[in-house]
Amino acid sequence: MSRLCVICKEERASVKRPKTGEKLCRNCFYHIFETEVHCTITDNKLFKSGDRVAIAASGGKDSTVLAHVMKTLNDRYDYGLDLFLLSVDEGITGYRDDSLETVKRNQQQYNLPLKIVSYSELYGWTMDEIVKEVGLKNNCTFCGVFRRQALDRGAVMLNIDHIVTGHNADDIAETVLMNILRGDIARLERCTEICTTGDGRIRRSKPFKYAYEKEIVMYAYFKKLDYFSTECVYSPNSYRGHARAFLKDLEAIRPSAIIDIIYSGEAFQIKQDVKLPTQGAESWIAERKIHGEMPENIATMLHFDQLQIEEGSRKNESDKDKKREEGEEKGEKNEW
Amino acid sequence: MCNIEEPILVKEQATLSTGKKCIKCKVANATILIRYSTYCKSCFQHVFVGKFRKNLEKSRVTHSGSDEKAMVALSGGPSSRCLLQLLRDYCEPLPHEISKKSIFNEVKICHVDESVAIFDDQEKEKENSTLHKVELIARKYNYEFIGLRLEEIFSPEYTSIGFYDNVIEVTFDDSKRTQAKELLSRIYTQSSLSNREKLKSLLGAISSLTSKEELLWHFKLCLLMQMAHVIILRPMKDMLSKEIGIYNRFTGLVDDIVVTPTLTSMMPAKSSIEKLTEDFIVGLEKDYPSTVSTIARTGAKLKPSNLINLEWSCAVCMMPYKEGIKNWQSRITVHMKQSPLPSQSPFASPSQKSTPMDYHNSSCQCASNGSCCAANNISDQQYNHHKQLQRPNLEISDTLCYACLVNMRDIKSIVEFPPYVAEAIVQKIQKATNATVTISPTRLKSKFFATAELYSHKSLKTDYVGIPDKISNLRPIKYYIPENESPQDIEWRLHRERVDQLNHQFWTINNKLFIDEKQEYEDQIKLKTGRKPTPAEMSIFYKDFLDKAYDRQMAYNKQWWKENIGMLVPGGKAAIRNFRIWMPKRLRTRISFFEKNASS
Repeated sequence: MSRLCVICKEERASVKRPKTGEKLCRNCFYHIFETEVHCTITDNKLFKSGDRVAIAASGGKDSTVLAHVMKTLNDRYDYGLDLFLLSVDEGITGYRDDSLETVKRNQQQYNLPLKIVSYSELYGWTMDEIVKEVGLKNNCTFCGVFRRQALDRGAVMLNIDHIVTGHNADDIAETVLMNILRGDIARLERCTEICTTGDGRIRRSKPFKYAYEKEIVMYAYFKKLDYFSTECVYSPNSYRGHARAFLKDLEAIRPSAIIDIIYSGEAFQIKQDVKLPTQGAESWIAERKIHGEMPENIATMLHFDQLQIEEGSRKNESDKDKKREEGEEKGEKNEW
Repeated sequence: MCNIEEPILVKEQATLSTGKKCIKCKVANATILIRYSTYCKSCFQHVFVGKFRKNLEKSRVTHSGSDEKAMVALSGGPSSRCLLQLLRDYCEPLPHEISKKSIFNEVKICHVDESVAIFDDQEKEKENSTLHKVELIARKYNYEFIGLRLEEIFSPEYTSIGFYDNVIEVTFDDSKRTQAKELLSRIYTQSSLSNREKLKSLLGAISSLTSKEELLWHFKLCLLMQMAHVIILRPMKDMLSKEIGIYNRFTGLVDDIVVTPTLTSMMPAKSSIEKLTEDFIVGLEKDYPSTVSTIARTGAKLKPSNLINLEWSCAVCMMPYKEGIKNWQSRITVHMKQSPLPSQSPFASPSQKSTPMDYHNSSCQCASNGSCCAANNISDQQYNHHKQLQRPNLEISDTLCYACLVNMRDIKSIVEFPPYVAEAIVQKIQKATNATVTISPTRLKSKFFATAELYSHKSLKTDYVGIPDKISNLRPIKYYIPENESPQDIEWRLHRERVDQLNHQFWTINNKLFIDEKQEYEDQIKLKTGRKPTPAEMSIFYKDFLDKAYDRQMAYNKQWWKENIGMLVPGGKAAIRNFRIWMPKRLRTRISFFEKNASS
């Protein structure tokens, strides 16, 4: 026997909600999912009217749903935001080139302006070339660092106030767990923050902080959104993989576990007398404007620099290229 | 998190045949590998004991010299067994170490026997009881031994005033109210329910092992806290279970351990969160050998967020917690179709936040999320429904921390919690409402429902019929309770109360709907025509309303007929009983059964 939706009590229930196990009809599911994101946005006062907001779009499920929901909410509640799609082309053949096609289609579907910034433009290296040099180990770490920076640069080009990313509740709970397991207290404190400010004035936030990955997938599936789903061809972070598997098991035992972990992450803070690792590298970071100022990132960056020095001639060339391209981009800024 | 109480099997250490030297004395051949370091036997023991003493001294709270008392919580497992030995060695130094002064002048041992929670039948419980085995261990030491059983948590002495024995009724959503009444009748009729049975029925009502484990842990801690009233020290917190296992082996303690089965013994890893986490950490430690110590150190660097009010503590686990959990949850997990106000500027007005909160104040029902997210309608609902709405209404969820609230979702029926929980809730209500709930020792023997105004049935001399309810139009009846009320009488009274409640509920909802819809209809007409609707127009609405309400009304009628027929036999019996008791004395003061039915 089919049951009625627990919310409207009119339609037949066709969805079992992963977060609570409630049986809902599709329309109520959409409505509730969107309302929760809306609550997250308004409770945390993420935006103000007139903000220029870039949606970091990878073509994957999270960012596609984010683009859809942001557009819907912006229209429904009259946020008064200027929305843009901002993509980063890491230059990974067989992964990013395909997903960028999806982003381009999304641009048409949602009628939002799109900007793509590529690693090769910004740094003179594609991810494929980097992997060729450094091997598969650790490549995710600095691909991440590069992407952050690339997003910021793209945002500056578009004169953006705010970048929203598709990080979901699963990602955040995973990060909390991982930072506890690794003893990374500096990040542990920051990773539950919904809104962070990078260098300069650009704010970054995660409107999907409390949205379950499963629900995002369901939303995309039922709404028949156009998204691209493949893992990155380069090996995923294995330590995160452990945390991810553990989190999925926890969720199977108790569906609220993900939210519970985020709640815990918000309920503690670092004792005042604990020294955060600094490594005396602040000045260096400030100069280079590298985000994610954690020691391991710095180490990777140094390592990467070292590689570039070894390839001296090539580095010089790419540096010049980079500067030239940057100049051009600044000129191009208002074109599209 | 990681349960280090599990027994460890230590393989013969001879396998470490790489010829490495001990990193400490650098002379003897190493036999033990801890993380990345190799030790010989004597150096290992020295380091281990040293670590223990350092931890203990670091965590000293007062520096008043050697006049503190200590209690060892001894489960009998490897860790606590080892702790006891280390503490003894520490407090009674060997002659050549006499210069070291001890910080404790008295040590007690306390054991909580949990077998009641783990085994189903009494035979097995006795067979596997750990109390005597642990007592045997404790006798080897010259310390006082306190043996407790977990079910004693239901005794009134384990409360902060030491004799709290009241039962408070915490009503859940309406569908559960009849169940609550049944529980009440059980408490009345079988007040002889033993502590053991109470604990069993409580655990039986919890659907997940995780919540069971957590609740047991809180109860155990509460028992220990009541015995000791102190700060808890965990001097072994950064010792690996492997280290403890090896130490126990070297000192011959390994044969002197009581293996305590837990709820998840012999269960797969995914049976509870605790078990899964243990499994995960142990697995991770294999690949990343410093995981356990990293987690312990990370934990030591954290403290509760500034937003947490340290004065409020959870009624169940006694830990401080953040207020406004319910509101937080309602924003993140939406359960109903609310339309967040489409105000001009969604980011400016904080007033918007009040939307979900109003919901709880306006209605005593709550979002149907499990059994326990309930309004704390502590008094007899049907009699002071109105007062209830006006009084600051403390929700039960406001007395629990987030984790306990999550656990409560797994409780599927109405259960009795230990008195210390009830005490904590009543104290909170007092604080929040400034109501004078007096806990008088004279009432100790009779269990009753503590209400915010101590509204007790016992004060009535005869049945009371109140003024009609403003919404349901029904007159509430408060039934007289004779001194020596028999079980049948209790059942009969509860039955009538339940039926009254049913009527009251239906008519409240029905009349509310009617009033609202009528208002709406009148407004519509007014908008269209600019005058009040004529009787002819109103009749359209009446017909329409009745048509719409047909199913609801019919269901209620059927229920009401059923109840009426069902009440015939017990009502007849009651009438006969009353006739026998009262007629000869010609003192009939009660309204008869038939008159009463007519009035409702």
